[in-house]
Amino acid sequence: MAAAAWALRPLIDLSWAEWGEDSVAFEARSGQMLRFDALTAAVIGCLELAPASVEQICDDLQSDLSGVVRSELHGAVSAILEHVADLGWIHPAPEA
Amino acid sequence: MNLADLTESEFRQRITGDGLALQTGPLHLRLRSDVLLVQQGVRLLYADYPVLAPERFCDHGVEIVRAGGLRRWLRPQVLFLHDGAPTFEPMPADHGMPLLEWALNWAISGQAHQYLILHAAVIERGGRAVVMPAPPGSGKSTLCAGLIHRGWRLLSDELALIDLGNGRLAGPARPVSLKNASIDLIAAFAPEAVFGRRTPATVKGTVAHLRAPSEHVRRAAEPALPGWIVFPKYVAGAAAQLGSRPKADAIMQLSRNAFNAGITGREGFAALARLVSESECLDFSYSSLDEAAAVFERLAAAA
Amino acid sequence: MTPPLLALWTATEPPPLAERDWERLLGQARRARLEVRLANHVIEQGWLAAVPERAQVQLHNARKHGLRLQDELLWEADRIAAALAEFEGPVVVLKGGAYRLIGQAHAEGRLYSDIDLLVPRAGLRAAERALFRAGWIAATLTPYDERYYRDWMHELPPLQHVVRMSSLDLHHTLTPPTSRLPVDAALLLAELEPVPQLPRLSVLSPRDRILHSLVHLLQDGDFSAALRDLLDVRDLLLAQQGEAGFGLRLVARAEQLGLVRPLFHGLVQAEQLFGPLLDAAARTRLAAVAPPRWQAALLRTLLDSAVRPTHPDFDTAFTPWARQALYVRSHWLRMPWHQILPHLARKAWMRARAEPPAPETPAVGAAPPGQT
Repeated sequence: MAAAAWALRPLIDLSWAEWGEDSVAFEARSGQMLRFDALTAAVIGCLELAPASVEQICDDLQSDLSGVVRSELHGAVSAILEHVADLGWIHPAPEA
Repeated sequence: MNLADLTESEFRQRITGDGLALQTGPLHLRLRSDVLLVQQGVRLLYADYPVLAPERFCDHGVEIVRAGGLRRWLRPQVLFLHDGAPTFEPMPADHGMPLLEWALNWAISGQAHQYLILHAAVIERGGRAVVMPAPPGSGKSTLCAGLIHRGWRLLSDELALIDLGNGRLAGPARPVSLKNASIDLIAAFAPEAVFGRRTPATVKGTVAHLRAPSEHVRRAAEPALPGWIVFPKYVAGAAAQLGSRPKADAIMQLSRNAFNAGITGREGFAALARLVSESECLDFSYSSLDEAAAVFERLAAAA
Repeated sequence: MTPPLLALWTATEPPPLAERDWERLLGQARRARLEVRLANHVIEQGWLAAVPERAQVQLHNARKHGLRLQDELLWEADRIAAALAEFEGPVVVLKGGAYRLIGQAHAEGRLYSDIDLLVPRAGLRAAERALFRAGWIAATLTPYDERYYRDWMHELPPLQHVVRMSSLDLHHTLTPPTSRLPVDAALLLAELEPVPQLPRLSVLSPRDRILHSLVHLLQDGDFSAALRDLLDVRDLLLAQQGEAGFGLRLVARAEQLGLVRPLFHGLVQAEQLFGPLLDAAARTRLAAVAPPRWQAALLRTLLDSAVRPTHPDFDTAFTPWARQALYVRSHWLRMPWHQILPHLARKAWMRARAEPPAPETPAVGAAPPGQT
């Protein structure tokens, strides 16, 4: 399961505004505007570029985060992915 | 030619006929009414606005008419008609003028999607705007009414119109709506201010409208660049104080005060983000209008 | 001379209107709930340059609003599909929602994102439960209204999403079982088409979409949007023009479903406004099964008046009476007589007490001073 990739759903249309640590996303289809912390924004940002698994996302972000224990990062990213999936923004990547 | 230049009979003929067409800043409005109080209110409060030829296109039109039926003799009422149809319940006849102003806000905020429209007051100095969003009861209208008599130009007391193309703030500079104690407060603060009739016993208490200063009406078509976003809060006894507000906070709060954020979609979001990026975002608590004016004076000087 | 709002749909050139008349036209269009359709039509016909500048801005705004509502609709449909992922059986999207989801251009005329769904009767409870779990609850109603819906009309009351406040009507037939025009849902469910982006959802076949529009127009009793509904029917028919023999198959289907009368009456209106829409063979077949002449003539007169858009510019002394008569007729079609009269009386009483419907665009601080 850890190897399963996540992807942004085709329906989703995101715009961003960033100020320092804070990010605000606007999802045009639903009209929702939500505020995210830097890590959540980064995770979503990864998936906006390409589908990725938890491991791949952690690999991507590890270099930007000094001194973070991998297992903690893994836990945080997993929780974030679940939360964003609940919003209806991401889903398990369809088989290629 | 301004409204004041019309003869009484020309005025009456237009406002009871095809409608009185007026220019308010960037917007053309068409007003119709057979209610005497409304006619008098318009004559007074819109005296300085240019009238348009009746055959000109108006962007928004409202009618305030006497409600018919048996009721009419027992308890006279007035109705707001939009595109010829009543849209809300009738109201007591002497509430005509507050109803007119409210109806115009409703029509504009429901249609003018060439702008991102925020529920906020907007004033201007030196080409830069202060946007003051606030829930009812925050004192924004009183603050706005005070500051426009201390060197700030009125763009709007209710509707911040942000041009989706260039991010500038436009303002119809229409009458400022005040209630209860604020009316006397402003009358004392600005003795030169002209007020329309007081309407007692509305749900919000006594309501009156302050005429926009002539100079502001004259310049109403002049937009402003972003300058500051100030979240005002009236706190009894508090000294006037500005504090910094994180931008992410500000944009979330502003989105809760946006009429057409959904409809303007990505464009609207981009305009809002740009406004927040280009403005200094501040919290402001105050109790004295004089102190508030002084603080805003310093704000303008530091720009 | 035909009023511009009726003539422009079949015109080859932009309406030659002065500024003030454009203002009037926009007001009429708003009143007839056609402003989005008008905007799209003007823009797609390439007529924009002929429109006064300020009117162009209003048209762009209406189009923008329409596009926004399309997005909302898609989002709602997506959330519904997610809520009903485990549901066994077809889930059919009806009316305006359907048009948008299958990408039919005229869909962009609709100005609301309320959705109508049809599920098999046996699955109604399960669907209601699944939707409830996902946040759709029955809007607060009086016990009388609950009985009207559940016992008399055998329908669910409208559902509303707790967070998004969007509306959802869940049906198991096209017309209530108490109606004089009962439609066998099984026949409809046998001919569904899937929604491309959301395979969990389906739409009715083209023939059934047309028939449903006409039934809806003549049965539901709300004629304020009659012109809009007829424009939809016209577009649906034009979209099928390439298919040989479609007209005959449409009439045959109407016979099969027992919907010949709505087809006949609706087409009379539509053809009067927009010109011929059926081929000769179909028209012959329809004439053979048409209702008695006196009934047709009476209804035609009533409909003629009712179809004119509601706006002071259009009202004749006759119009309100025509609408009333059709409204009574609609109720007649839906319920047995002994149920109609008490119901109508109740409705009239509630209308007299109740607030008028809210405006279509909710505003921050949505009531005028003096109303909560």
